[in-house]
Amino acid sequence: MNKIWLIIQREYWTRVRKKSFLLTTILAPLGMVLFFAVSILVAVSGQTDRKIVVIDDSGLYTNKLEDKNNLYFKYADTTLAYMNEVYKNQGYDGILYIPAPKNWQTIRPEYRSDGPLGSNAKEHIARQLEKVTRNILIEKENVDKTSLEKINNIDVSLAEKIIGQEDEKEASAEVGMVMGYILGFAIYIILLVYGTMVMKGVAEEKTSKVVEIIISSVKPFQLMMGKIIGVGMVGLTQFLIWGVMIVVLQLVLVFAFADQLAELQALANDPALAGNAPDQAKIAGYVAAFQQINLVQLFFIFLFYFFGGYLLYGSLYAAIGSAAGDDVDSNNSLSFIVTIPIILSITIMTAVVRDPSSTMATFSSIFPLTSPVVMPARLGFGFDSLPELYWQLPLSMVCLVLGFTFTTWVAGRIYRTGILLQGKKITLKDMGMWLKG
Amino acid sequence: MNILELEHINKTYGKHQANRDISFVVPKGSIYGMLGPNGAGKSTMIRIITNIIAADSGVVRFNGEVFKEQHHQLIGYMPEERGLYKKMMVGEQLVYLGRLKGLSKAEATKKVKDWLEKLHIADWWSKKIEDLSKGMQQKVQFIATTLHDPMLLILDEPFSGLDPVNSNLIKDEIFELQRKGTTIIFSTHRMEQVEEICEEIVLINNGQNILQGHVKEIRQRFKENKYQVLYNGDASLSALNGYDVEEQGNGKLILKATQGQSPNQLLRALLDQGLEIHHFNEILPSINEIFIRQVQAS
Repeated sequence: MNKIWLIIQREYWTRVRKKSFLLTTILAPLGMVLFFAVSILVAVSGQTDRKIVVIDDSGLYTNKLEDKNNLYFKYADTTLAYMNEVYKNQGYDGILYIPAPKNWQTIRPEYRSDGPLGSNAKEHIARQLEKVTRNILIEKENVDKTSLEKINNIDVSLAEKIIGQEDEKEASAEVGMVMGYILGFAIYIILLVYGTMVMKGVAEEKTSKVVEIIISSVKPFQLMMGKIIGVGMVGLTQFLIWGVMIVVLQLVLVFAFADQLAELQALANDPALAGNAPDQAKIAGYVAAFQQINLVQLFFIFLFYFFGGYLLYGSLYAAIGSAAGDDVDSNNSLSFIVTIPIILSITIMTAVVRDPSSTMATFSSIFPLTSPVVMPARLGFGFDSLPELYWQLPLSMVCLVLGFTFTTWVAGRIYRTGILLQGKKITLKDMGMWLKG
Repeated sequence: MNILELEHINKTYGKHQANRDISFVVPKGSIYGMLGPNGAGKSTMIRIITNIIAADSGVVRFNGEVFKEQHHQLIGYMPEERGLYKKMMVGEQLVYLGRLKGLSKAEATKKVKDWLEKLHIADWWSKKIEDLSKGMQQKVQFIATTLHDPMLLILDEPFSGLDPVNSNLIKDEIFELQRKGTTIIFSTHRMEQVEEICEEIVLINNGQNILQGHVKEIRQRFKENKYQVLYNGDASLSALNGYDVEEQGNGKLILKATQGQSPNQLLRALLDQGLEIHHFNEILPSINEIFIRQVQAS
């Protein structure tokens, strides 16, 4: 046991001290934050101050447009042709020309300038014109304004309730789907990245021929398990650092870009942009659905599938690594055999989040080769939406434990023979023989 | 007292029988040679001794006991296919390997420092293995094998890839370890080294033990009664009955006694010819010759 611990330590420290580990661990969240920062900046960058001169042929719009989002409207009683010549000299950035409407259903104003307007400003001007036109029409047609607002503000949203639950909590399929997708995808990445790392580590030990020295001190199985656990801890460390960094950097971001964020918030909440802004009730629904998820419980179940799935696939990858020869191509074709079920899992998972109670969802979240990716995805929906999880989850967990016990046993047998064979091309048939012997 | 006893070891890989009914004993404190052509089954034999693989049948006794987990710590093994973690530093790597053999961190660190000093490479501690030449790596490998003061040291082709200077350095260390009481099993197909270093040998071919015993005794056993004489005078050899002359000229004579005559009888006969003898010795077959003869015969 003491020796396994030594091996775990070596596997862990040699990887964690590598420059590439530091780079990926630090750069990945920085990259993500940079991505957010850039997208905020891009969204906000259309917001430079603009002075716009309005030529209003009908006179109905004059002094009615609101200055907002760095757009300032001035009104000029002159011709478009004249203004085309002089707007720059008079300090304007562009001309908004509103011809007298011939037909009130279609308004066709023009914005003239030597540069682009930007989508936010364009949207703002269009909404302003729509609003003013609406008011003009209300007056013209003699419509009662309050009745009209009543009619306009009809809100229909379909609520989904699960029958037979005490307080009939509202289940938000969208939140479950997103949550499930994130969890399933995280496990998928873990299995692929760290599984491959185990495989490469084993193959390196074999091709550098250090392995025979090590197994003259420890049992091959100890070496294999030490490596799998050590690499798994590297993965855990990486995720932990990412988690902390993302939280910290988000806080930094909120402080650094407080003004810009406030502006975005204002944009989103602007009632003038009602058609564009997300529905408040809907947001509240998402928040409520998210709060219903038992995050602590989910976290521990996620950890279970992380370790179970990783042990299952890590040991299979170790077995493949032990069969590595000097021929890189044949290694790839062997590792593909292990990679296929992982890729299959993610394909199934994308279908399962759309229909989490289908037969395929049930089967694939219990079958140990697919359950590490599929089950966490279904758990995103919560026990309330999927009450069958109360019996399926324990069954799936037991199957996974049996699964990785079996694969580590199989891998151990292949591994102890594979690592000692030098220079021979190893086939699946050979591995089958080693299992027996 | 024997440190190692092997009884009727058999090992088969698929259809290939790597070891067939091999038995031999290694006396404590000896330098024991395990010889055989490539593919004879030496490495399999060693892997069974070090408990890396299990024999299909037969018994291995270490120090009188059936092999146990704890015996790992009493054996130092340098495989023929050797290597080290390329990205690890020399000191760190040796301490790790020492700890896997059961040394504490402090013990391992001290011993590594002592060894590096002894081999005049104290400044290598923080060098990466990949930055060392092959010969330099061999030295590190040798330290890794002996760091934990094993009772039994198994060296598989220890001199392959070493230049003469480093070969001698390692050879001296081997003798030094033997003086301190370590038993050394030395596996090779290079016979001249065996004669120089080993006291006893076992010869393995096609997975079988075809010859074993003390080097001197084996050479005696396979001697052909050949003698070399350096002389002055005019030798008329026609009068010498019962001897085949194999070579003559420039005052040198090589002949074979065909009727089992003693060296004294030959010497007397030569003196009777009126020759002045400057040098007289019996030619014993080299282990190499015996090896080739035995391998071809088996």
